Amino acid sequence: MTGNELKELLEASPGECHRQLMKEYGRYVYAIVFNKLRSCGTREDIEECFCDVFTDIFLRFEYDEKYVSDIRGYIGTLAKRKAIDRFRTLSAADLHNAHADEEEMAELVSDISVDELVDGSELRRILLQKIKELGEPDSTILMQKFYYERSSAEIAKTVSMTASSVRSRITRAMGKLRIKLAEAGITR
Amino acid sequence: MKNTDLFDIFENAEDELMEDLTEMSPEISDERLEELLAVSERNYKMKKKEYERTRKDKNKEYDGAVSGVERVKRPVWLAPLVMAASLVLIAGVVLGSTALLRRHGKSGGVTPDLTAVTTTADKNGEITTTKSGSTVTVTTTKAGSTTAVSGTNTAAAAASGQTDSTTSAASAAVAETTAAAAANETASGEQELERYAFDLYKRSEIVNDKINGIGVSGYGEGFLKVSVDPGLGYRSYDYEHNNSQWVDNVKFYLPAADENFTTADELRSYVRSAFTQNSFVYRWLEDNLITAPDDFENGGYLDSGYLGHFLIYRGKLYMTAPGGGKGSLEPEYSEAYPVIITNKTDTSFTAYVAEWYGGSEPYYDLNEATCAEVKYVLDPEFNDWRINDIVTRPPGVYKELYDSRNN
Repeated sequence: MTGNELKELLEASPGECHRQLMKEYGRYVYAIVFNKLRSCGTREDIEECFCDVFTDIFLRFEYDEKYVSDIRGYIGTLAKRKAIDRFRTLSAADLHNAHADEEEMAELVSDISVDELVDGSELRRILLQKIKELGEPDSTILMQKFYYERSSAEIAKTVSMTASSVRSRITRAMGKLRIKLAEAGITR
Repeated sequence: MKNTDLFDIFENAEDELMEDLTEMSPEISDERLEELLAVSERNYKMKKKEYERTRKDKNKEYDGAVSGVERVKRPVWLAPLVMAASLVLIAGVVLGSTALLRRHGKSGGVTPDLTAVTTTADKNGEITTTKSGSTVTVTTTKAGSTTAVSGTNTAAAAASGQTDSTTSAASAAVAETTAAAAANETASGEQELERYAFDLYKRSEIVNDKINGIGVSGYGEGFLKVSVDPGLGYRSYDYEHNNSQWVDNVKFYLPAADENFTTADELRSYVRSAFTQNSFVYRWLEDNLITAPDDFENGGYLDSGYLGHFLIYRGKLYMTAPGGGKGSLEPEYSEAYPVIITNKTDTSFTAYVAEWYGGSEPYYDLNEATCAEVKYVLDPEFNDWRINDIVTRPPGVYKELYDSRNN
């Protein structure tokens, strides 16, 4: 829906407009918030920040006409700012919740070091490209497992597989990724 | 080494990677979405109340408090002109009163006519003075030194008294007439001000729309394409191909060719025709009226410091055009509920405008009305009223004012 259509919906039914906003931009906001808070926040922190972002979006969408024309850009900026604010208030201590099967997978990535690579931006681009080259659903499974820190059981639900199938795909996909990264000069 | 080292590098990723990270992010289930929505809605309602309350408090504070110094410049010829106008007014009142008094005197017939006085003296030394019309007869007898004053003399005295009372009545009539005229003038002045305030408010709505690209009468030929930082998340209608598509990380501007403005100066003047220089609209305009660097070429990159709603490029004014149209919901007004003016001083006043968005005629339910609180100030640059601020007030604010005015 365009900003104008959402604005019209807001006049007719604010509740429905808010639902549409969250449906349309929920994953985008989540990805941004998660990206900023991954290292310092729990999943609850992230969801709390996610709700804060949408609270602000609802308010500003109602009172600030000028954002209607570029709603995605506006939401992205708002989410980023909010997440950075939250990052500052959260403890920098590692509060990650380790999933039971996270430990099992530790060795899969432990032999890949990026310490000596200084250009993080370039590395991110290469890594993302290599992950995407694995194809679906492996790329999504790997990202959800190691970046979004979802358990194999949770991933299994979203990709319609059993948890054990997800685990075996992760093992194979990481093997392929290791080779691809080595070819690109990224190894221990 | 931590087992998440490799994927940790995605943290604080550039915005351009966010699309990929979004695509690979976990789906939010409908159930979870509803839960998160419920939390956001609850927070939103609380914040909205807080927001409205803060605004109310702020308004109350402004109503009662005076801070700072407002410098008002008036033209030098204004003072003598006002003095001359006052003198003319006073002279008019005096002359008018005199004329009314005179007219009353003639038509009342109370003042005795001046008539011939006849005095005769006979041999007995009796002197008789006769004043015809006034029936005053004075008889003086020299011998007995007796002075007799006939009763009609009393009537003359009474007539004199009557003249006094007539003078008082005339004065009262003049005063009454003057007061009624002044009241009429005031009422007429108030109505005129209400109409003026209403027209200016409607004009300000059009001005506000136009500078936001709503209802612009046209754009000039050609476009200006600007590449922008992907981190800003810009999305723009593709005026280059005009194929109903939107493109990312690009901002298009079209030459301003509205009937009211084609240059930056005309744009400023247009906004100033309704708003003060301190108004949020004018300040927004100045923030968004940006001159492109001389070495910029069409299609080139501009950083965020140059990205406003308007762009002046090589002396020409360009503006952001809402691709696909940007609709505006026009409010409706009711003749039965005119503008209400409060806090009127020589240099400012506040007007409350009842407006209805949506619904069908007739617009009579004030509980459904939205109330615009519009602050006007006398703009020294034009010696005329301009809008300084517009605040949307909750439904019912107008109703309260309307009821208190009519009761």
